[in-house]
Amino acid sequence: MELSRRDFLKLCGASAAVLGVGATVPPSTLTPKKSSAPVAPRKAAGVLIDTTKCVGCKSCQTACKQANGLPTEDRPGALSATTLTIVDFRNISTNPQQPEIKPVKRQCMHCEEPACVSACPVGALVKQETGCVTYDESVCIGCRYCMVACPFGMPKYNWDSANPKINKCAQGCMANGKRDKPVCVSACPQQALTYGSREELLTIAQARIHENPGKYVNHVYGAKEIGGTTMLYLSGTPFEALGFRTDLPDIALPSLTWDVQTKIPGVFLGAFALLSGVAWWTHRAERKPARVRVPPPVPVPVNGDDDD
Amino acid sequence: MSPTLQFLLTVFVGFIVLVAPFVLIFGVLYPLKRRLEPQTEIAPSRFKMPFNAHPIAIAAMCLVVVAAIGIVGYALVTSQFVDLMTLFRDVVVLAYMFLLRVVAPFVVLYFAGSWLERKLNPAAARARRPIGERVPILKRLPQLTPRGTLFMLFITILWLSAIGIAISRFFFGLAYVTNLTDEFPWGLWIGFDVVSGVALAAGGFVVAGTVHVFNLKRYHPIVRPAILTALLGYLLVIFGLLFDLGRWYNVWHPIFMWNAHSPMLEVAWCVMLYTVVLMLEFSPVVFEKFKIQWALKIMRAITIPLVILGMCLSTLHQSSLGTLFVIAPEKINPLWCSAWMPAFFFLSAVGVGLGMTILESNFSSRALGRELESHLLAGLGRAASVVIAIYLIARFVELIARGAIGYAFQPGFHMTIFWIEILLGFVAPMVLMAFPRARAKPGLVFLSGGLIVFGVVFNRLNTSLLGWWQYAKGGAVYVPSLNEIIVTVTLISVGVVVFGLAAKFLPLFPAEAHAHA
Repeated sequence: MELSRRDFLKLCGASAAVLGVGATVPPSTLTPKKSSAPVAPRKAAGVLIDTTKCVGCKSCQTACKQANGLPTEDRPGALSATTLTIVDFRNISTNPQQPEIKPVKRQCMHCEEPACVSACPVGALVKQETGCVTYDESVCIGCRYCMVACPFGMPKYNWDSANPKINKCAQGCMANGKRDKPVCVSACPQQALTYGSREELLTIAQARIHENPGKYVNHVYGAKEIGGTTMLYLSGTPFEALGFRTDLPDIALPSLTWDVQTKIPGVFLGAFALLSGVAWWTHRAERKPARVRVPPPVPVPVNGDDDD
Repeated sequence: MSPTLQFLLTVFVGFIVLVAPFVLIFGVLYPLKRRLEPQTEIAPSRFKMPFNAHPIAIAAMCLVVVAAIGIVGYALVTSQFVDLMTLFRDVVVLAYMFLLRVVAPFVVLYFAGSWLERKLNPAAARARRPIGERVPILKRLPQLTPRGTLFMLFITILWLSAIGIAISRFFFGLAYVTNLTDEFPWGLWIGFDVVSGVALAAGGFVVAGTVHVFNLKRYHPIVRPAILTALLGYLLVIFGLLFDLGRWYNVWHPIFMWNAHSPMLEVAWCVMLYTVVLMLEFSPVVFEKFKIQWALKIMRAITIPLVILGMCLSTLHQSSLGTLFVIAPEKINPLWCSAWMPAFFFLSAVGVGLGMTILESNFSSRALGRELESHLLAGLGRAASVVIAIYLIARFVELIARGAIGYAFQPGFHMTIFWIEILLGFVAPMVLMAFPRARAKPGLVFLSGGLIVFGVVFNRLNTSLLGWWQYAKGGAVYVPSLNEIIVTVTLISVGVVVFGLAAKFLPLFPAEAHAHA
């Protein structure tokens, strides 16, 4: 009894240590990705979306659908499993008599520290070196925790399929080195979309704000929200009028759960030690007489009722 | 194809699918058998079939059904025969809708009517022969009490509907049976079947720990049923999760593919391990039944470490279920969403473990005609009162410290459900069980247990469903569909039935003499 318990404790300690090691290894090394792109890894790149230049022609939307092999004949009203980017027409006027429509392109924000990547239990979502958050359907279990975690509600699901996937912009148009910039960027006739490294884009955005006083709101959406996003927005009207969530915190959401997750090994070992101590203390009276008695006249219960 | 033609074809195919097996059995196979062996009579068997089909015919029918399922599954996975599949889907939906919306109300009406007749005109009701003698097919069924018949009918309709829902869900997708949307990706199946289900199964680790770790031997009589309740709870949680997982065939992935940043991975691992621990903890009951002494001896030696391991795993995943929602502060109402949710989930799980054990003891004593261990349940109630007091203090201190207490006084939907949860689900049982005079009354202990279970389930539903009713654009909300509710009720009923069978066939409850030893 004594021995078996000690062995057991050792075993548990060892397994907890293994778990602890697992918890400190970043997810990308635990689930190595097959490298799909033969091109050399680029610097993290994003897109600056200048909504003041957008005229709402939907070229980006159609180009995206064509590049990803999605149905182009539907007229989507919102992002969905078959619409990975959309031009959303918002009424920014406060006067109901005079509506003022403003088009805004929407797609996955490719966060710097994505909540969906942190949430996925199996590592189907991965933040790539290119700045893009990709999805691997062969790994996914369909738990939809990424949809719960995403503050922008970008992952969409094939609700009407027996073999559903998570659908969002994963820059699939650039997979296998097919293109050097996303199709939505090259499709835009107004050059409202700029592709480049995040630092570059932030500099460009700040420059535009300073060079055109009064044209822009003095804020780059995505610079700080949720720890920063790779997709950045400039706007001439307040962002909440364009349907952006402006109440988002500046901290990266994954840090909230990671703070808890890192306490798991400690809680496990602490609880194990505490409960072992309690069990040892509460059973002290039963151990003593057994050691004194020689030979032990303990009746062996045939229909044991002291075991579970 | 015109809509009319489509409809006619749907009806035709539905007729073929539903009626063909019967035509095949009674029209072809049965006469064929009589023709081939006209003299022989089937030997009286222990199992009475509702019709005298030859075993080969039954086997053939099973083959046909299996092949049909295989073909349909293949066709679906490879997305072939889309039109045919649509027809099949419509047939399935029609069939279980018929069951749900026509047969079920009829049965309910019948029993309500006969009950009313017994109340209003007892003489006429007594003069009428019972339905079991009037309807020929019912004579073949085992004779049950009226309540038993009602229960069996309820279970039959429920489980048949659940099978229909399962076919729709697994062959066609969640959209056909649930009200889930991209804005509300988690519904009743996660909020109740998984998140609440795990909490309701906490009685296993609480009671096992009380007896084996804290060495309070007098609670021993309730250990085995509590562990069985927990084991069934976890198995049903896993089963319910399979219903909800979109790519359920990948359910084994968390074993090998790790993202240590995800609380979901932690929950998956702990649930897997703890289910194994629960099976081991329950195994002595089975070993005792089949008198396997050497296995009993091993189990007796490792009981205490096993229980300690189970408690540690429970601590981790009960709290990690709270961690799941920590990542979505911008979606869930601040009354529920906080960084301390893991601690609150764990504390309330201990409380509901005690409450659920009280409920389960009461139900099983009523259903199985056992003596109620009222003095033990009163002790559990007292412990629950202390645990809930700690929980409530922690929760309100945290709400005030975070500055979110104001939300509790903002009139509206969330204020209402928050105070219902707190007052009815937590404060009421805590106050009740703080008084020895209330604890002396088994009825009040039972009521308190029920209130705790309500409070914790409501808390989980508020965190995972109702607390979300604010963030979606245009005021969109999620309300579970009838199908989701039916699957949930089916899972509970499966648990109840298996518990009843286990109580009948396994040494689940100690002999009365031992109970007071």
